[in-house]
Amino acid sequence: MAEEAGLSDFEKELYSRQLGLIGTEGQLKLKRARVLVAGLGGLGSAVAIYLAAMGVGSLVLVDREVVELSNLQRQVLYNLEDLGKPKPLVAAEKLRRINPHLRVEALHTEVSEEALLKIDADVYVDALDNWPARFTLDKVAWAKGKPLVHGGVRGFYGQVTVIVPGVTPCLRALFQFTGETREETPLQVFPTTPGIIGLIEALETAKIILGVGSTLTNKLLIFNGLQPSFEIIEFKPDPKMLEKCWS
Amino acid sequence: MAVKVRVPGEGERMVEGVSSVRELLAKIGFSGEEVVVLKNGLILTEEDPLEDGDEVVVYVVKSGG
Repeated sequence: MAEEAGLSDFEKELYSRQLGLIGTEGQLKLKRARVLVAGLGGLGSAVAIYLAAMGVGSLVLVDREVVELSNLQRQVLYNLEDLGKPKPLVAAEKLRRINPHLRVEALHTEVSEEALLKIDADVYVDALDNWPARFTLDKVAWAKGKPLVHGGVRGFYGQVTVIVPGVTPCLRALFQFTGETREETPLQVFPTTPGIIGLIEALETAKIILGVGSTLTNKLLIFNGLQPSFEIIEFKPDPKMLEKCWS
Repeated sequence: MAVKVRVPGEGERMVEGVSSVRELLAKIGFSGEEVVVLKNGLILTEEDPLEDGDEVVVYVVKSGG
């Protein structure tokens, strides 16, 4: 494999402002990594652009929707020329222009177990916009034994956590109250909120791949953009929670 | 019988007359929401009892993207 050989002169220049932080070995870890990004809206735009730009070698992009006018205030992957086109296909094209080395697979489909179980990835990123799809992704990542980076937003608020099988509860157990979720329709979201939360998801994903620092495992980061604060609530891994998980 | 409830971003308040997480969520208007309820770092379920003097954090998780 060519990527095992090291970095080209082009790559050394492209990544010159981060190689001092993560080293050639770190850059090669990113290059060898495969990340599945589920949802290519406000969160997914931020996640995908930054993972591509930093040099994650392979992305799988999953979304069922086409680009709509109401997306453009926050979904920065798209512009007016993209209206009506499938989001994953547009996203793949844009991301290749950001990073020509990127291998990208675009799946214009529902998030389903059938579709996702066929795909292997090192990290699964939840950039979705509804609970049923999130819990499907959670179930797949759990079955694969791989980390899931969760982010969610509404209004000026959002949260991030990292789910790791064997270390944390699954998302389904963590967010266990399922009643009738009272979402506004259509969802109201201030444009910067998914950008901020999506970038934290991209950062957590990168740290998982690189094995540096610590991640938001067994921690819930809560962002309040109106009364600006980031709060991190730690929780204890509780064996009884694991019984509520998928296996 | 009072439980101290903290909602991140919204402050703290005392809630009287609740003996379970389910009753607490109903009383503060969070029934049917997707929430995380924690007491001393432990994640509670709806069935878990609450006692006088308990301090819990209730966070309504956001589902948009």
